[in-house]
Amino acid sequence: MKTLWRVLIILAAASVVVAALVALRQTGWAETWLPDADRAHFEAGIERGRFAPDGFERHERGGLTGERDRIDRGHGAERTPDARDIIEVVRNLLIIGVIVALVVGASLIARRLLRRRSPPRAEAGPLA
Amino acid sequence: MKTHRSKSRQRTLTNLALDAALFIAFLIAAAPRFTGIAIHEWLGIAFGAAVMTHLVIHWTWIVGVTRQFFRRATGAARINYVLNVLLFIMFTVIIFTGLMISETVLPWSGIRLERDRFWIQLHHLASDAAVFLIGFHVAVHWRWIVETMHRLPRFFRPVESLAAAPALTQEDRR
Repeated sequence: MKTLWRVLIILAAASVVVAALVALRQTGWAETWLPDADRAHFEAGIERGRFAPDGFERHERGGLTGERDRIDRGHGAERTPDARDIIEVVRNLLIIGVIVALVVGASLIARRLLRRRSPPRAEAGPLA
Repeated sequence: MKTHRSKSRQRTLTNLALDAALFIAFLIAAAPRFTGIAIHEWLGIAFGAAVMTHLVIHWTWIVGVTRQFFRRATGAARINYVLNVLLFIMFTVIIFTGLMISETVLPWSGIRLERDRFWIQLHHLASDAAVFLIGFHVAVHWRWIVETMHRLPRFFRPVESLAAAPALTQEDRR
């Protein structure tokens, strides 16, 4: 019963986020901060044109080629699995690894600096 | 004592296994070209359920820090809390926008939505942000991960031989 309540609370928190997203969508304000290149492609019908009416599209493979790749990152290029694209997993793993190394390294250095700065403790001598 | 230690060991193992599974699932789900769209979508939904389990398991910590956030919580706990809230928001955004642009899961359940570039863009943006946030999340818990991994072989020894093992979690220490 306790777990059920917890799950319901988590779902309620998630619905707050979803409600905010839907509200954001309704305002139309978000349209302004979409990348210009993407908007231009979309308005030119490229995004829509890539999808055939029955929901299937031609298979497009793109490397990591910047903006164009970002636009093609729609589910279109991702429909069929390809083991060669394990590079995406490796790339994300590398990013996470670099962040971990930086944060752990920085916290170690900060800890050492703080230890050096803190005044040495007075040695406990005989009271009498 | 023995039962308490055994339960604590079980809990640490469950945490480690679930966290490792979540991490691997995220890495795989974040590479839709590698998995293909169907696995990407179903794995994303399973990932959402796993995140919920993760939150339920750590409920005591969540409630504790929420209550003490503006009073007694340490700086590290506050940073960790803010990071976790951001991660929760990101995962919610990813899963929701993923459903909105779904090509497998929603059509499978008989729902067809019009593709909206807003949801597509947001899905990609949130996924990219989540990679960085997960990096920070792992970094914040790095010490626990390393310590637990070091003591992993001891976990599989009989409970009696664990008497000499150092405490792993707050519960162990108690």
